[in-house]
Amino acid sequence: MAGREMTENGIDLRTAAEEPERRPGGSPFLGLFLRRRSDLTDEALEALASIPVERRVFGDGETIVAYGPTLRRSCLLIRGTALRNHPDKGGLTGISAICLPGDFMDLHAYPLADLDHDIVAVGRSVVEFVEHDDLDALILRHPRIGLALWRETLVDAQIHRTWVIASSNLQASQRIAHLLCEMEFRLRRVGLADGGHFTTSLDQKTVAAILGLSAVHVNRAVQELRTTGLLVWTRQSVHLPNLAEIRDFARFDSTYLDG
Amino acid sequence: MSRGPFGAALWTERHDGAGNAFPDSASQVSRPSDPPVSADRDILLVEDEAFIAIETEMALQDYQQGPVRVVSNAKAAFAYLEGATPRAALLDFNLGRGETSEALAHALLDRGIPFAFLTGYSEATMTLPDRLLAAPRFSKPCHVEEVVAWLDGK
Repeated sequence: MAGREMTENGIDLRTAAEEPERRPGGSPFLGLFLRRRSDLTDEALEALASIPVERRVFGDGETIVAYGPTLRRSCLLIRGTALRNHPDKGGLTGISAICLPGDFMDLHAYPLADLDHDIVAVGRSVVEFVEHDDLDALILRHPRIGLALWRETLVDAQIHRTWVIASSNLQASQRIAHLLCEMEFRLRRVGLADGGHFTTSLDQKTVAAILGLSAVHVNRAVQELRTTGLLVWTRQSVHLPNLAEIRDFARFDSTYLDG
Repeated sequence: MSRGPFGAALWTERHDGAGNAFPDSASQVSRPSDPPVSADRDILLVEDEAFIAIETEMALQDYQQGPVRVVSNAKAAFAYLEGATPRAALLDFNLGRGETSEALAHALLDRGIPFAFLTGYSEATMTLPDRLLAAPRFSKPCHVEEVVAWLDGK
């Protein structure tokens, strides 16, 4: 277990259970992430793949990026799940987003001075950090990369807007179905869902926390969805046997997930 | 299967030449404190999609399986097999750009190295020659427990 180190700002830099691993030669994941929604030249993709990354592994419940002043780096989730958790600072608390593999989780930290939430790992998660100085240089040379990064934060905003509308329009079982339809769609994009099947480290208790529902309420709704043949959720394995039908039930329209 | 827009091109092109397609595979990085690892305990994973590759590798590690040697194409797998005998191999059947792991499966069978195919749920039925039909098939990216149960006997 890595020791904990506090900087002058009080930011915990060493929350990972495993030592960071520096990869000066870069990584393909950043290019894979931006290529989803943006058309980039081979030259830009090559530049993306060559910037140095630091890969770190976080255990369940560990803070990947902390609330407060941002560091000069951002990170891409390449395995696992993370939540944007708004810690108790005397105001509102709760979970505002789910991060899945391929998400550049704290792109917000790039132009913003402070992060208004923690990013917390759910299950063993792997993250690649890139330095903002490297992103600066990349964007100057390839302005389309800047546009592509901007587009990603706008899609994040679309997801937030949809969550707000979903919470005011849908019943509990529809909201759970909507969340699972979104996860299936996002995971399929990175090859991690297939035929309506995916694996998740989120349990029903966490889903309850995300949706602001009681665990009993979620459990009952999941049973309801099972009875109607829309959902089979066994431990970490989720199966949506009839995608068209559950999407219809949840009034899920994937347009908000497109750039 | 639906491969998603990520495809494989960027990944394989970048690492083809080295004959070591996934140099950033976490378990390949040995730290000075690590004891020397017998190649016979290694698991070979041939997977061309980067996110599935790292997910599968880490999931196997979660179950104390490994070390896992990850490569993204048949060429790199053959290069690895020249100098090593893994205890088992997991083969993504479709390796992208028309390549499959069929030739690799024949070579593993010839050498008596146990192997299984990883296939997508929506993947069209593979047409395999008779001698490969007995190989187990696991759906990916799920059900790592089944893969682990199979590996435990190897």
